[in-house]
Amino acid sequence: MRVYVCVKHVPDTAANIKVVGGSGFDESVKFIVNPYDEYAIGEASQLVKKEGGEVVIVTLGKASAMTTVRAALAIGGDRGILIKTDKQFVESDETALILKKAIEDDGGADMIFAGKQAADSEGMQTCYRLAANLGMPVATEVVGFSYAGGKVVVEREIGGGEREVIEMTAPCVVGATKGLNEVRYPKLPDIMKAKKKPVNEIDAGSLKVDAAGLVELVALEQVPERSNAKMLEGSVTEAVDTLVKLLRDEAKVLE
Amino acid sequence: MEIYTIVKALLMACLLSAGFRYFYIRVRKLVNIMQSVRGERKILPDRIGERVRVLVSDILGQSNVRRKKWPGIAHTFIFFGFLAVQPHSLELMVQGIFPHFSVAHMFPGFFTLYLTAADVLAFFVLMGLGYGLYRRLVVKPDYLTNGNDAKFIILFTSVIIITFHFYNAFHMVMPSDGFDYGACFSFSAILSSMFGLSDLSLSAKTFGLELSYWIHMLTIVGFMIYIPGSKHLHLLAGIPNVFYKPLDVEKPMIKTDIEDEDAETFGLSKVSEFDWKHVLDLYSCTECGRCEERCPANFTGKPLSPKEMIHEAKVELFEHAETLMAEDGDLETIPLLVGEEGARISKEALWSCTSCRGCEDICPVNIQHLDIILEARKFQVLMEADFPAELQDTFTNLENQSNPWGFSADTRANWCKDLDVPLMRDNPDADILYFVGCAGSYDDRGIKTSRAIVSILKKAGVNFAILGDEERCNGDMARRCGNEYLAQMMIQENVEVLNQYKPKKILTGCPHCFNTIKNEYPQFGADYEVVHHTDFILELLNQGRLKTSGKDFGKITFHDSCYLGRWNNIYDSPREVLSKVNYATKVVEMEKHGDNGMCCGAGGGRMFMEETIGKRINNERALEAMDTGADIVSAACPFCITMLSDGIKDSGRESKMEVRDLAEIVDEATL
Repeated sequence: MRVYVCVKHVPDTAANIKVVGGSGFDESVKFIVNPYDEYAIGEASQLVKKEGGEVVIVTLGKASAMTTVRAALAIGGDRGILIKTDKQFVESDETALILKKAIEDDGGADMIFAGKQAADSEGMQTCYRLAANLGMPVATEVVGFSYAGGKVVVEREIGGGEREVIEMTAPCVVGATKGLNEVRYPKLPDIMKAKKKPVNEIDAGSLKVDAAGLVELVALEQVPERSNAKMLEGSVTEAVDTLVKLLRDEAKVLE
Repeated sequence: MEIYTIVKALLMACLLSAGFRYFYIRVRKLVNIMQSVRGERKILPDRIGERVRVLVSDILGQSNVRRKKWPGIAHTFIFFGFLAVQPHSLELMVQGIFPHFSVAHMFPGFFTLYLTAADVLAFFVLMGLGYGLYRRLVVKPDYLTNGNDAKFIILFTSVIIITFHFYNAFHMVMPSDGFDYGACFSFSAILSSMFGLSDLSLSAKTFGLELSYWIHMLTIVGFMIYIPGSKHLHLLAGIPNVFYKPLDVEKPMIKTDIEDEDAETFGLSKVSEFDWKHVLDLYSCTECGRCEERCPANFTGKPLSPKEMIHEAKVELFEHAETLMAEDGDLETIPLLVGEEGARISKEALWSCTSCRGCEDICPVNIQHLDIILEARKFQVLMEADFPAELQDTFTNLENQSNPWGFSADTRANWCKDLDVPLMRDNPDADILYFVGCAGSYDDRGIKTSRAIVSILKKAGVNFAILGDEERCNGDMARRCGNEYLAQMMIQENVEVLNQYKPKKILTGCPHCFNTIKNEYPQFGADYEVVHHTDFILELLNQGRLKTSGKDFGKITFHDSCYLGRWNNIYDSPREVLSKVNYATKVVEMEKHGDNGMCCGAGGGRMFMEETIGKRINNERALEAMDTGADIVSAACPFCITMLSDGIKDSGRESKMEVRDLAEIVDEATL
């Protein structure tokens, strides 16, 4: 079977993001495989190991995302497709259309895995939109996966420590999250082999998808640095007075 | 009598030719094994003159053995006495076949001197063996392998020496052959008179002489054949192993060619991958257990014993010797050396090592345990991706942000935001490039030390600069955890930056940075003068660039960091610094200090692994520090500082002892 894993090239969550020019950021920071996508790669590899076939890594990103494609191939995967764009944040509507086109052009999927969300934009849209475009069933927040004879059974977290079990027919889209499997640290031979695996580079423009342009990135804002706690001195009345004053004048949450 | 002489000659000829032939076969096999292992290392060593001097001091001088006093003295006695009787035994062998051969008659003066000395020295062997027996039967230290092998060896040696004395004792009462044997003997003469040998009939004397002769000869030949298969093989292998020992204390780890596309495997996985020197190491071990006694992991109840590791590897090597030596031997049948149940060395043992190097340092025959341990870790990480789970985040953090905790790499210089510390990119001609290190940059405790170092540099008017966000982790932690790939990535990045600035001198605030940059970066093309802050501060004090205030800190004890001491031989300068700034009170020493210092438990990447087996090494070390009654325990390593601070807290003992980096003390003690 042919299994596609959609992988995003994202800045490391530990990196300090500096907003540059309104809606961009300093991209000299370290970029990594989107952490949730690592679980997707792991699950796809296991499935192909069992059922036979190939794992194809699909990435939509800047040319520099090649490092992420290679890193993903070291974790698991037989070949890659890098769809090049000049934007870090492509709206999920357009992303899903591009991924659909690329996957169909490549031969079509027997299964699609992805991380449940990207660690940078946190949109949580792509899995659903991709499945809708392809007319496939979809489940995200998946922590358990099994496949037998075209039937997929997933366990997904629904909050409060509860899980639900869903049965779907393949092909379908599975959005992986932490807990689905243990992310394996790549072995050196895998890293070396990954450097030589074929990666098909295509321009996003050449796929000619027609996105509706539903989402527009207007501005990025720096997360304010957490300030130190302030101890209010004096009697209760004094402390409350000071608090109200602070909330009004400094925090500006009171009118 | 004529017939006996002929029969004796024939028997001796048979005994010696068979004995030596068998001995040769056994030794030849050992050499074959050395040649059959697949690892490669060049055979011709460098600096031969120095190596010969090492042989003189370490083997003839027995200096290394005597680092443990009483067993060392006993060994020295046995060594010289056993050596002394050998020419005599050789003469007896020749005499057995050619009865008229006699060195005594050829060189009477020389022989008198020789035999006089040998008779005394031989008796010393018995004293040494007596001490050995006392240790094995009464003291029985845990670290000493106390098997039958050792007892056989003592028995063999005792019989050889006792029959030497008896032969002499009978020889001196035999009718004179023109050489005065009696004049040579002291202890044998006492033996002779004790048993009243001169009163025996000639035939009884002859019988006694011949009986001593035969027992002596048979034991010697038997022992000779026994040696290659026993731990006493150290007698043959120890000497070349000492000859090949690393001449410098500083020893870089082996650089693995990770780009080698033809390499089938990386690191060390099984005995077939050893090189000849590894095998010589195994042959040299005599199971004295000094390494085990020193090992901080063993001492705190972890399943690592350097001695057992060497022994197990040796057993495995012999078990698969035929496969190795056969031309079509299937190496696949040789199991992994480290692994799950059934493997000779457990993973827990492998990962317990702190790379403190206590074992290598104390080994009397210079076995290089870490050459095996660190290479075996490389295999586990690079080929199996099998390592303590908690290291995965550490590796990922190092890879992504170049520090083990995963703080953002661009905030590396935030610790000195308010200190006006110049960056190399703004001050490329600085006299000193201060390489701060991860702990010095990100760890709250480490930052205090870095700030003290900066303060000292400013007081002394040093023109210095740091790399700031251009600095990466030095690579020590990843390298010693077996992640050579990750280590080389970081090393390469640092090397490029360093080569761009070509610093006049690099100052480090951490022994791990110091060791790697000084001793291992040259492998990667960055060879600069590197100084650790203890030495640099001492230099500043000696040059009068720092004025001391005379502050009395009370009693200070100094904890030797392994990567400062045993890996780089820096023991004196920290003590000198402390005595210069705290001159009112002498530095007090812990029982284990200097080259016998005990690890804090953080080395070899252990800082970032859980310590779940046995007692905690840092707690034990903290107790030892507290036992000195010192007010301050000082160290010159951020990891030691953290480990000791935690150890004092966890020890459960009420203590006001402070843990302070040497730089912090100096900063406070100078104007």
